[in-house]
Parts: sequence; C-alpha cells; structure tokens
Amino acid sequence: MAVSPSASHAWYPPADSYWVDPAQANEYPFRYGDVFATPDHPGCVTSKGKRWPHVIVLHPSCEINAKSASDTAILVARVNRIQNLSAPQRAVVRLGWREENLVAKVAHTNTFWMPPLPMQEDGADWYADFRRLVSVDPKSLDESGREACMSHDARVYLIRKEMSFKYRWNVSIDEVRELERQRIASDPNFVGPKPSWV
Amino acid sequence: MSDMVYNKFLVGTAEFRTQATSLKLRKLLNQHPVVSVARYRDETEAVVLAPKVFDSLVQDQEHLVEIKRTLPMLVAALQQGIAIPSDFLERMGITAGDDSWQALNAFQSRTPIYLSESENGARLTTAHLTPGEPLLYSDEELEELDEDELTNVGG
Repeated sequence: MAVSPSASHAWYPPADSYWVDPAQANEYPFRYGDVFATPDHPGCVTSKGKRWPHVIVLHPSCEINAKSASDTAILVARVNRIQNLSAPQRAVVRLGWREENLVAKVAHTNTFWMPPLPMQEDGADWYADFRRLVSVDPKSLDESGREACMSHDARVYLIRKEMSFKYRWNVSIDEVRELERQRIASDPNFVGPKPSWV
Repeated sequence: MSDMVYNKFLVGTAEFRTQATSLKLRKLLNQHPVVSVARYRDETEAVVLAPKVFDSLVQDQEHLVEIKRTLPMLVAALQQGIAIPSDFLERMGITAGDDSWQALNAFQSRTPIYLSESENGARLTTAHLTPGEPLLYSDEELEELDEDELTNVGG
C-alpha cells in the first residue's frame, strides 16, 4: 500500500489508529509499544510509593518473546494520566509542541501521548514518560497482562518520538515508516499480521 | 474580559436611605453586588455597584477599546495570511475554546505543522537515515552462533 507522503512534523496519529481491536489482539505477539498493567516490581512506584497506573514496552524493539530477545529484561516506561497535569500542560503534552512568538517549538519531548485504552470506560487519555524507566522480567509482564496492543501505524510514531528524545534526531514520519517497512519485510521470524504498508 | 453576569437587586429609594450607612451598605453589596435604587419599579434613580463590579467594568471597557483599536489590523493580517502569535490572541480573549484530547488530536493529525526549534530553543534540523543491510539471523544461524556473540543481538 502506498502511504501518502507527510511533511508534517505532527507527533501523533489520529486517536482511532492507536490500538488493535481487542478481538484481534491475540493474533499479535507482545511487542514494543504495547501497554501492560503495572507488573509487581519495586521500581514501578512513584516517589510517594504509589503504584504506576500502567507501563509501556520500550525494549526490545521487536517481539518480546522473539528468540533473540526471549531472556532479555524488558524495558518499560511509566504511563501517567494526563488529568494529573495542570491544564496548560495537558494541551502541550497532547500536541507535543507549543507556539511562542510565532515559533513552533518541541515541547515535553520526553512524553508520548496516548488516547484511552481499548477497554477503558472513563475516556481519560495518557502519556508515557521516557524518563521513568524500569527493567522488568518478561514473566512479570505476562502475569500482569497486556491492556492495549499498539497498532503498527502508531508504533512508527512511537519510534520517531523516542528517537527525538534519545538522540535529538528529527526524522520524518515517512522515513521512520520506510525503515520499519524494510525491517519487517526482511525479518523471516516476524510474527502476527503485518501492516498494510509492508 | 470578565464573564460575570450580575442580576440587579431592586431596592426602594426610602429603604435604600435606611441602608446607606457604611456598614449596612457594605453588607448589602456583599449580598447583592449590583443594587438598583428606584422610587417606582420602572424608574431607576441610581445603580450602586460593589467595588469589584466597578473595577471589572472599567477593565472590560479598557479591553473593549483595545479590541476596537486592534481589530482592523487583525482582520488585515488574516486576509494577507500573516500568522498571529497565540499569546496575542489570548490577550484579545480569542481562544481555541475546546482543548479536549479529541479536539487537539484531530487538529494536530489533520493540520500540517512544521516545528522549527527544539525544546531548549536550538534550531531544529531534519535528520535522514539511510537503511543498511539488516543484521538478521535465521533460527539455524542463531543456534550455531557462540553465546558470547549473542550478547548484543536482540530486539
């Protein structure tokens, strides 16, 4: 499938393209970008001892149970409620940029915005914080359970945002998608449905 | 600009005279910030305002003068396609209104945006990545590889 080129620097896809339909999620292995219930781990608590609401997988960048990564610790980031931020901060995190004197600037680059999870009833949105990281055992994630399976389309945006945070690289979404397309297309061990653009 | 709407509290002239001591007047205005004094129901003689109401009216008047002075310039700028800083629009009382996640996500995913500065104000440059040959191993190759060589493989 040809994807129309997008020169826009927008950080996020439309909200309805984030999550795989829960009815089909079983076809997708646990993978980078999936949101899990917070595992039982001493690092997954706030400085005040409150348990993180959710975690998002940031490493490995392939399937969690892939042979090459099956015994690797899983790097997860804290997922917070947007509602806990101040009102002006909420809007900026939801966009990932702010305008000051006609200059559009990157803002809160350590965050990745997410809409409500598929089975969530209260309609509240979330953000992952790339600065709050913990390595957990793969088994502990298995036990806590996946709450949202991120679509391939949204994972491309997550990869791009992480590159922006970790390396300060501003790469176009089309280039990141193309790299991901090539990676998936040439991976003989790729599991689960492939995106339409591969 | 103030969004407050005050209801006038009607007081007869004779009754107002009995309320017109400093203490009673303060109490009356605390309860009813706008008091209409009338000899008859349809004949207002005076409107007495609590200080906060008066201050807010003065502020609104000044704001209105600023809007009247700026509006032609604003319209001309829009017609020419000239961008207007958001803090200026906010000062003018013009805001997006809806900053729900639904509205902001729809806006940012449909409207092209070009970022020019990083978070710390550095000029934002665009990086281009050139994919090389992917480093992948088949299951058989993985089994043949020495454990040490696998240390950095994965994900």
